[in-house]
Amino acid sequence: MKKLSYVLVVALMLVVFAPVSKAATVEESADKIYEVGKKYGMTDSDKVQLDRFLRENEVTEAQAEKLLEKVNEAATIMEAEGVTKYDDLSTAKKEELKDIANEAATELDVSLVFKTKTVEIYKNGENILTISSNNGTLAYTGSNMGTVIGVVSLTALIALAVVFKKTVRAN
Amino acid sequence: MKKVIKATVSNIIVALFIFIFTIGGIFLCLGRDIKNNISLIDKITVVEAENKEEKVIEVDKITNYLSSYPSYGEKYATLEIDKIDLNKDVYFGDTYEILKNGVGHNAGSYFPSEGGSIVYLGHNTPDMFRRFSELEIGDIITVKTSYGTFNYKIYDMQVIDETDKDKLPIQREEEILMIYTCYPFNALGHTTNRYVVYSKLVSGEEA
Repeated sequence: MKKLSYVLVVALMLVVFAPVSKAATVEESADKIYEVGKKYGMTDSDKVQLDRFLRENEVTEAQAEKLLEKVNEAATIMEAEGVTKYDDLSTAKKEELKDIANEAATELDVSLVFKTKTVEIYKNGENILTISSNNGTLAYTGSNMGTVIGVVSLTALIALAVVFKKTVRAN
Repeated sequence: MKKVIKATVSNIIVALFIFIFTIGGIFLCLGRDIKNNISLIDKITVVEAENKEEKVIEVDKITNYLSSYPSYGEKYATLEIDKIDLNKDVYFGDTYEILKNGVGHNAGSYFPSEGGSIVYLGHNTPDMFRRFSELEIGDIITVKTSYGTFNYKIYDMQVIDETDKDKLPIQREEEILMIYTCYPFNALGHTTNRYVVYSKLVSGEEA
């Protein structure tokens, strides 16, 4: 008990007397959130976006702490359900997670729009960031003419087959 | 014989109508889904900077971070590769709409001058990255922004799978520009390979 109290006092002193630097705080917040989030699929790319978001929107230390609190809340749910992917949650738990995300968004004066594979973040009516899930693959950057040609060719073949069959029957 | 010809012609006409309505129906009902199947995320309008007040972007001398960032979908740079006569606009973001207009900048990567990994991507069309096969180690890639001009020297090229995100590592120890496009370059239809050009920052001149 004595040892525990001593540790607590030291921790409190560090918190109270630690130098407060905005840049360090934002980076630390992003780091802390990443430490929790990476267990559930948060990537280095996500961390870059989060870090940029926190810096660009001048998130205060208090807001950053609140955000971390919400992240931990979400992580608790994931752990309780024994899952590491959002998609593996039940509908009810997904809604709980969305509620937590919305509470975090309110703290940061932004709003969220949830779509099928994306979450859009709005500030003062402007879409400032879109977070997406493309199933862990790199973006498609090929020609989509193949899709068009494929569909057109297939339909043409079906049409011709119908015509051919009818003509043969007529004869 | 006349009956057969008449029957054949009327069947062809019917088939043509089926053909036209099918195509029209597919694009009317599924056009967006077809795009979504090959797009990164939902459509976001590409922001034209013409009528928008241009942000003044500066580089923080201590952190090397930018003072502000372009809006998602906003054009903020040009990509030039003299070897293949390429000069294209670079947009922040990489949605389907953005890639139709120019080079996309993956939002989960850093910006030129920030000292980390930068990921650009674009289509393998003739007017975009089709000629990537002509690039060699040592060739120079130039990115011109409102806050500076940055030159990168190619040091590697690789063909990777679309799931190999580890081959595009996001880090902040060294400024590396990675540009990828679909491979093979002239493939019709969906391809799961990507051609990645890796380059290192060799010089940067701030505006």
